[in-house]
Amino acid sequence: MSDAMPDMRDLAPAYALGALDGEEKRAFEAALATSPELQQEVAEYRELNAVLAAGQPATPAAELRERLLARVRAEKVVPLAARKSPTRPLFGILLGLGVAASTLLALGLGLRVRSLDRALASRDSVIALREEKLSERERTLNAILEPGTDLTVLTTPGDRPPGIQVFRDKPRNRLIIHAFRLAPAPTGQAYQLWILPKGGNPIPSRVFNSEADGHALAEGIEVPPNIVVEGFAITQEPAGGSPRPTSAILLYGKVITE
Amino acid sequence: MRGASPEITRPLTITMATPSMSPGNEPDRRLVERMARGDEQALAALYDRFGPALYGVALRIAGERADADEIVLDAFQQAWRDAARFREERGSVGAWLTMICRSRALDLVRSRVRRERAVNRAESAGGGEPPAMGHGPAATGGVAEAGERGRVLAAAMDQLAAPQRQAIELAFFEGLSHSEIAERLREPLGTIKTRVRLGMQKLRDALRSYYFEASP
Repeated sequence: MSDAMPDMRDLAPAYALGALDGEEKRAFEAALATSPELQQEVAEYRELNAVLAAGQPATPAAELRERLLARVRAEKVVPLAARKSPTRPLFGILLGLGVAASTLLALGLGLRVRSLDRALASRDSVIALREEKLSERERTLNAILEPGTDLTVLTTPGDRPPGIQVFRDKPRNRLIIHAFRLAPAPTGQAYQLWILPKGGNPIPSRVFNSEADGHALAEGIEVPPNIVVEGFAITQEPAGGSPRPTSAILLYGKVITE
Repeated sequence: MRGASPEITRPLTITMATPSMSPGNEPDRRLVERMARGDEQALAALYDRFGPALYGVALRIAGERADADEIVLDAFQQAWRDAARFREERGSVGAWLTMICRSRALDLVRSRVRRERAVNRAESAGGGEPPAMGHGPAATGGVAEAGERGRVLAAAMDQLAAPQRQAIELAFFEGLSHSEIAERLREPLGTIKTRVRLGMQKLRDALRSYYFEASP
């Protein structure tokens, strides 16, 4: 027995119970395949399972036995040896029918394979879309975690108010905004981000709306060059956006590190 | 444990000491051979021998008689189909049928998401006595029917610490893995592994003389 065997033997009870999973199970099965001792050990613990099962018998309904026999009768296959050999003409007919059936079966299988191919292609495109979405998320995450990215949180007073995180990638002078608990704007309306420069008027920026779950994500928002940003604000505007704010500020955040 | 059972290293023929092995009865394996040849009476005889035990475990796992009916029917039907593939050297007929039936039952429970109910049941009993196996109330008059086997198993189960019994029951009747049991009981994984191992080893030792028969 190898040095590793004692550990494997310790796993035999759990394996027989079906309590092993993952890597442990795979390792045990690999050892089991080549070890008669382990096979014996597992066999013995499986016997114990039978004992455990036998400890609490219960009476099945009386008709269950007959149902079982009826089931197997229905699927019973008469042994080939017990069949009478068919006569020649009948054999020819049966052979012809068999060939025809095989042809139909092959045709059916071909159609089925084509259908499965289409299903696979459809799955592939779904997977590709998901991968693309994941890549986008990853790019966003990388951008947020990039050194030199500042965070400004736009809030408003209240109990569990909505909020917006504005991540500013200063080297590239771009923004990513993530809104949360922000109810979707009414029909015909949208939210608009305003960049508040030092000593100037609000600069219109991205128009967006939130999802039903209150989240919104917008990326690649450019910040005009050569300005000092003091803060950001959000207003509700017509769906196409406005050149200047037409409603009161909903959310505001002051840039701390500017 | 290893020290307690050195005979395990030599060839061992295991036979389950069910009533089927009493003198005058046809051995289980002979019935399986007949079944493989399409003999319905052999199937009926096996059903008579193992039906109540399998029905008991199916009922305990699935919780409902209608489900237990289907599980037992499916299990025996599968045994009927696979009879030619049965290999005695891999274990007894009882172990083979139990494995088929338990797998069917656990599959059914998983597929119908009854596990949630089982979780609730276990949690409602949490902190108290774990469900009894061997001498607990079977779904329908199990104690009376268990007879001598039931009493021996109950005595063996009594030797186990309650946490060992609980871990084994969760694995056996709910099909939980080590890690799932640890999660359920909020215990360290290593603790659960030890409980299952030691509990099963104790049971094997306690039941060996009654249920297993070693041949040189």
